[in-house]
Amino acid sequence: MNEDERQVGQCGHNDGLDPLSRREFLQSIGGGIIIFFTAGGAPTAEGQRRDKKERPDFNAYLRIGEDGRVACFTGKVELGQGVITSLAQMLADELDVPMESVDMVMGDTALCPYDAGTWGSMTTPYFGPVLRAAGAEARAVLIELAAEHLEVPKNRLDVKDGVVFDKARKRRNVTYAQLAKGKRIERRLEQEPQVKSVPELDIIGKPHNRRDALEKVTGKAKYTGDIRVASMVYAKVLRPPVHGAKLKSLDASAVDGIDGAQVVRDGDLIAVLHKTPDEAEKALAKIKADYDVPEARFDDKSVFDYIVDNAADGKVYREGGDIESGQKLAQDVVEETYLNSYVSHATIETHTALAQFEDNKVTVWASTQTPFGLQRALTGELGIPAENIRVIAPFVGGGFGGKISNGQAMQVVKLAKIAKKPVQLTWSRADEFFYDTFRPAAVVKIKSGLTDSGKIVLWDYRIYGMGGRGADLFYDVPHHRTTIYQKLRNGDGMHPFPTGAWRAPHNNTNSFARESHIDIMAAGAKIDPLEFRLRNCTDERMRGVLKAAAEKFGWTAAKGPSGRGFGIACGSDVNVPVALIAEVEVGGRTGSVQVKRVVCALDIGLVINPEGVKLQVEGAITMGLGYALTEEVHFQGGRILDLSFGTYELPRFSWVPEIETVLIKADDSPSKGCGEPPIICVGGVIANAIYDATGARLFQLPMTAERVKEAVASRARHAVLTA
Amino acid sequence: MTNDYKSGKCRKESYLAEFCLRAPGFVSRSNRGQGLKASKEKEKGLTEGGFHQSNDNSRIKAVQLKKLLLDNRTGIRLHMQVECKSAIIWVKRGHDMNETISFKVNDKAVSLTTDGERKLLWVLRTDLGLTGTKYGCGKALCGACTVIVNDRAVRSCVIPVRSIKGKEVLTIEGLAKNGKLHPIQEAFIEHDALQCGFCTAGMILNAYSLLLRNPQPTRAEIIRGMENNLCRCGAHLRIIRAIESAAQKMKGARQK
Repeated sequence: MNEDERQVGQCGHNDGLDPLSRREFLQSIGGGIIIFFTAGGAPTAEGQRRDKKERPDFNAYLRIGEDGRVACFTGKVELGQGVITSLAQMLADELDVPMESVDMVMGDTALCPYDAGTWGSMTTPYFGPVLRAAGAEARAVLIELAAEHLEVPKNRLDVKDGVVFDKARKRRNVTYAQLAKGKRIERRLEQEPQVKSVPELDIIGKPHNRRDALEKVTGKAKYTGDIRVASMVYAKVLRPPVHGAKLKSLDASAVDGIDGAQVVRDGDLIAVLHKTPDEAEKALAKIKADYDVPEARFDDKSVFDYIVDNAADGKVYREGGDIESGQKLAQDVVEETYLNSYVSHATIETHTALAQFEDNKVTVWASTQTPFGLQRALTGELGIPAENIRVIAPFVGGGFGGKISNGQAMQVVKLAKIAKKPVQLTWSRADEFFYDTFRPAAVVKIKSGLTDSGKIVLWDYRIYGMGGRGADLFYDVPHHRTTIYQKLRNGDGMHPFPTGAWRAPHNNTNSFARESHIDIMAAGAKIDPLEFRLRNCTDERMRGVLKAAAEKFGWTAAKGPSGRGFGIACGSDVNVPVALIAEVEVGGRTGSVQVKRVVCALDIGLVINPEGVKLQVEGAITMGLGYALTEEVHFQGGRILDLSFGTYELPRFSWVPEIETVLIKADDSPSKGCGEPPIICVGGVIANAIYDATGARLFQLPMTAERVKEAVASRARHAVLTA
Repeated sequence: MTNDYKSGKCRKESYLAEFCLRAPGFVSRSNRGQGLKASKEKEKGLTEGGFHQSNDNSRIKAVQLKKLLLDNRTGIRLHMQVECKSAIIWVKRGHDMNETISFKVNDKAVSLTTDGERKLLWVLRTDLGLTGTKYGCGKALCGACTVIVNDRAVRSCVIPVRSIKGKEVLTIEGLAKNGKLHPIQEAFIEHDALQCGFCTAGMILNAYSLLLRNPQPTRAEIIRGMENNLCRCGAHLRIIRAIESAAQKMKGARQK
């Protein structure tokens, strides 16, 4: 494989429709043994395709090169989640080659077949099985070739470390490299071949260190902003003061005096180009621009009332039994409202892109979770066909859903086209906060009812401002309804700026609301919160994680608030049940919350890389401390007030608790993703632990020191009044 | 061309940045709240300048300095810590001329002619092609740009390149010696102390500086020392463990 391919980057895209591009694509692959993963009878990544028009005839392929190295070409992207390691494990295991001989070629639309994007914890459950099947198929082909080569029947052959050998006479052997030499064999996966059974697995299921760590600790790993091409310049874009602002006048004359600075304008997109990024930024500051600013409809405090008061009729998302019967059965009805704010992705790498036009073609390097989505968007923007647009996603410095949107890349192609030279654009931190697609603020209203024996019989659940992921009820409630309100009465969307997917979209808010509410009911019924959950849940996998977490934590039954500061919460995301138990310490006077310990149990089926899973669990819980305790975007209408880490507070070293991960043994169950599930209950579990410590209930995320202090004080006032 | 480096605002960020902005012309604490002594500044050759002191982001004092001479080799924009928050010295200088600045990067002598006000981060990444040092925020708030200057961790996104004249800079590219990884790098690999890797260079170099000063830190000291380096992926627990383990390995080995 050439140097270009070996660059362990991100995914690629091929639209799968154009026969010419397909032919070219096939020709671009060198010699060796190539297995295509077809979309026919074989498993595919079909499940994650959103656009039904896309019909790629294969999703990925692998090649055993003439040097014996195995290359996996996939449109997936390495964002930090670790699939560069886990996918290689799957392939190496099925092929019986050492991990070191697997090269991952990712996120390059010219080299990799179509992929919808890297999100939703979908790489492992959807791409994984396809990859394993392809590995198994390749191994079968190699065994066939070896049988001919060694003149030994296939059933007498076995493979170890890329060497096929006669089980009877081990010295009679041949390597994969020898078999691939001088050949060009193509196979398409027509039927699902037999993958290894669990006892046969050798690499899958064993902990493996990150394969990209060496590049990352030496500074050699290339991110988009580290790519340099000849005669490129750097751009800095002029950020409007407010979302929805219209440019009235522009005076860029002060930039004229600055050596080497060039102002580029395309409609409302205004940028300064310079051969160094810092000089471009300095020059940009000289531009004077006036805007018409739209009137603010609401701010971060009034947003909740606004979206509830102005919501159009909702749509029923889930329903069972009927609410009126539930009302009648209920002896005790609890009605509460839960609020959650906008949060930012705040990846340490800001959105970056580089565009280089050559003749009628363009290459775009971008920090993106969706290289193929970006390619498609660029065909529309530039009016050139997909085969002339190459998108390369090198290492990406964090995604969490924020790099599904590619605004920086759309800007940079316009600039490069006008400037007629390669342009690199790195959003400043303030740009990043401004253009980010925030997790939407939302309101959840729950009315629930309970019988005397502590069974939930009524669940009327209303969501304002976001969707239903995570709202599916796993508690056994005979009469339930979930309604979603996402539009205003005038037909507009509810949010004054773009919102989008943020690690387990909607689920953090839904799980916070549900698990807080369950806790309130448990306390009202004077039942231990773990016991209350088990009493109302027959889902075996959910019960499994609850019990496993409780056992690891050393949970002992007590009705809340017990004063111990223990909280419990559970939820489900991407078919992964997860239970969290946390211990917190609350400074009642200051409202400070220190999370001391978190136990997380989850059921993800067959585990590929246990160490990688732990890393994701720890990462998700640590990140979750932010949305639980401090992170919220302050704004006035379309004006974003938090534009730096000075006011938008991310979790720090001193906040991080001890984190213990319990993986449910479920080897016979298909592998599932784990990037998102562990984060969904962090808000809920901390809220419940604060209640257990203080008796004060928090109904709004984040649970800032100020809000905790207020809740504790208000509880004390209430206690005095009722005494 | 006249360049006005006046900065009327004094944010929390400035306070956090104070440690790395001691350019020539640093004003000693004895002057705080009273403006600059003209005689001292005459030596430094500034034409005109001021002293803003801030409390809670509001400017409470501005002292104009007059009749100072021009010398564009002098440190221009200085932050210093004062009573409550911070202060910014501002000056006007007559010319924006490039100057030749020599220093060492990863044991190699470097000499470049550029505007001395440019931040070290961009000189490293753009002029010297050392892209291992990352831009994260530009305000010394995240630590992704951390490099070592004369054995101390500094935030290269706010430090003017002029201020490192004659000094030694170590970036992540220079940490491994003769193909052998530094024990901190090895520990980061062993403990999977990273995910996306974008904060990693800054984390490692901040830990390097920490261990130089305190070779056997307690866990609490590690947490305190790393507190202002941000990681969004949540590798914190692993990073703490990696630093503990590197400190063990380095014990007695006296490696830098």
